[in-house]
Amino acid sequence: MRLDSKQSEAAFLNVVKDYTIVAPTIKVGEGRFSDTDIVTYGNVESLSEIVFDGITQFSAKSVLSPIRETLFSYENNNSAKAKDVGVEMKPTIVFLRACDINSVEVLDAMFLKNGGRQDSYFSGRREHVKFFLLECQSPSASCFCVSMGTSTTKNYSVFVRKEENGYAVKINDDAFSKYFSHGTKAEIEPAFVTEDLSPLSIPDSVDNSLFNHEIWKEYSRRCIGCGRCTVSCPTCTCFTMQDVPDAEDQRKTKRQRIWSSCQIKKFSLLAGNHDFRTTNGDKMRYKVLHKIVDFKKKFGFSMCVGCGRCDQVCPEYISMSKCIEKINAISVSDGEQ
Amino acid sequence: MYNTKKLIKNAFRITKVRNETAVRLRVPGGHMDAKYLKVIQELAERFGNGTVHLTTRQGYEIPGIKMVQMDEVKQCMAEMIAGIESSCGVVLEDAVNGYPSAGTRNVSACVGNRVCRFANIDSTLLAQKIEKVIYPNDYHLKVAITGCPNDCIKAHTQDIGIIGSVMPDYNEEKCIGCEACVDNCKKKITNALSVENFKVTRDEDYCLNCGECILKCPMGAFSRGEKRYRIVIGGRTGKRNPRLANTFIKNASEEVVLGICKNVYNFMHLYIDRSLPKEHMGYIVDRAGFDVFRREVLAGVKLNPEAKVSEPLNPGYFYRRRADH
Repeated sequence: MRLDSKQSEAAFLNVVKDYTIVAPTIKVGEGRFSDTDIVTYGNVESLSEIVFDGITQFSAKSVLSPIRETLFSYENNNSAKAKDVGVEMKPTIVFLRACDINSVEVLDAMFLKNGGRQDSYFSGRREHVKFFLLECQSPSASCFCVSMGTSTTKNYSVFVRKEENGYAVKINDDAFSKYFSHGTKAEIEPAFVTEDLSPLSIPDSVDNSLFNHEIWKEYSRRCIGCGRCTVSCPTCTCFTMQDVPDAEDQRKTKRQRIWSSCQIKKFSLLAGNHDFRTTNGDKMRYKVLHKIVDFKKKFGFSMCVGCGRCDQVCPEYISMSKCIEKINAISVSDGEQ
Repeated sequence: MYNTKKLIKNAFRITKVRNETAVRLRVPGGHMDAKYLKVIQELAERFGNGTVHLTTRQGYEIPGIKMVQMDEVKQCMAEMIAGIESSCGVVLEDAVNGYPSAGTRNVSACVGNRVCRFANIDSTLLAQKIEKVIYPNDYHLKVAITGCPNDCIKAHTQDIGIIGSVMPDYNEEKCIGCEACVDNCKKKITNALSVENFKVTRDEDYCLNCGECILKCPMGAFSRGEKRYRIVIGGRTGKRNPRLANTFIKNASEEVVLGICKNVYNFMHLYIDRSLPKEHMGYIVDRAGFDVFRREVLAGVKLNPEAKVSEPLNPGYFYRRRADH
């Protein structure tokens, strides 16, 4: 379907009535540095607010796994009488690129297929969420989705392309046909990236000798352990649990699930002050190997989807893809010996 | 012969060599179009000795100019000085006659948020706005703008120093409690942050509004609110009583900054010691008293709600002075 600007916005207004829309959008003046903007996910109410180019600073994972999610609350320190907060969520559409749609499979694996029990908070949100596809006409400098096998997808309700005089849409899910009935018929197919700018090969497994390799010492010197890579990552799902007293009424307490990550202080701190991953190089190793090797051993596919966000947000210019290249170089030279 | 007073007022210098001068060119905010470098080069090579001095206040000084050539020099630099001043909103009515005054020194600035990650403000832009308010003026006044409390421009050594700051907005919903902001503030700044009930609290009395918490937060839970300015006053170097400036107003709005810069001339006019060839603002404050200074510079200035006026100045550092004999 092809819709001119007016038709598209009118159609979108009807979608907005039924759905919360989360999409890449520009937040003016909200950048970390003075007088800078950021492109990141946010609620939008018109198509014109959506940014169709580039990588967002954060992923959209907070839609499915909120940064701070209250699970239940209790009073007078009596958790036996806990009150389930439950999940209340309006049906939501999230605009995602192919890599990010594939990243939801990782979230599904972690929250629904991990440990033999589904996470009801996650599934309560998941069933309310539909995906609209954003295409990639060309790869960006830091992404490597083709190498990760995440460059294409069929798992979307509607594909939307911004054109000069309007929008082109492809509808995969009949539930959305009614919104876009006013356009002219046209066969629309999304573009997917077919070749990364820097193609990578991903090792099937790594030797345990990699554990103490020199390359991690270099990351200990470079990495500052800020956690930007993991909080921007669409597939990092680690969280911590906190019982947070109500600010107004100290008798009331809510149990919150709060994002955490392997890069963040105290993540691996145990009782008795034992911490088994103290250097930033060790944390980098843990993260990278989980992303490309360890998760795959359990679920059969890589955790990393090659979206390139971690490269884009690292203040020290540390690159995930360069790290994978280094691991490859070590594996190859080991194999030759 | 030459009238040295007029010549000095015209931004030329009386140098060691008789009949030889040097001219100083203002660059408010220390940032200008690169095209003017050609003019600097021409001035130095046609009239000077082929060298250029980068002044401590971020202007250009062209040494080795023959005094007889001053009119030609002014002709040559007219377009540049009029162009630079008009970009600040200052109209030089007769640019071929050179600068109308040199008492109020070039308003210098750090590179600011045009380049630097730490900067909370466009230092150059504010310097240019201040230039519009205070230039031309014969009173000797040194003003400098710096983008953050790192104070790279050394605003603490100026009569009036402006330090860019920011009101941090904290969104608890985005905070993951990683404590990166708290640790950094404790180690590097004033320990103004703490964690209570899994959220960060900020002690405004101690907060410098430096913006480091915003820079450190991986989540954007701290974000940029209004731009504000710390005004420090009475800083100086010199032979009598050097002093680092004290905070006069914390978290002032831009309007307050510009109002004070304007009013300070009235204060100087009323209380300056006219027996001296020139007197720094800080010495006038010392003599007239902090309360008088505060009254005069805040006359007609509406303080924004967050602005906080501080206490009197420190005595500074005295060179050992021999008793009268």
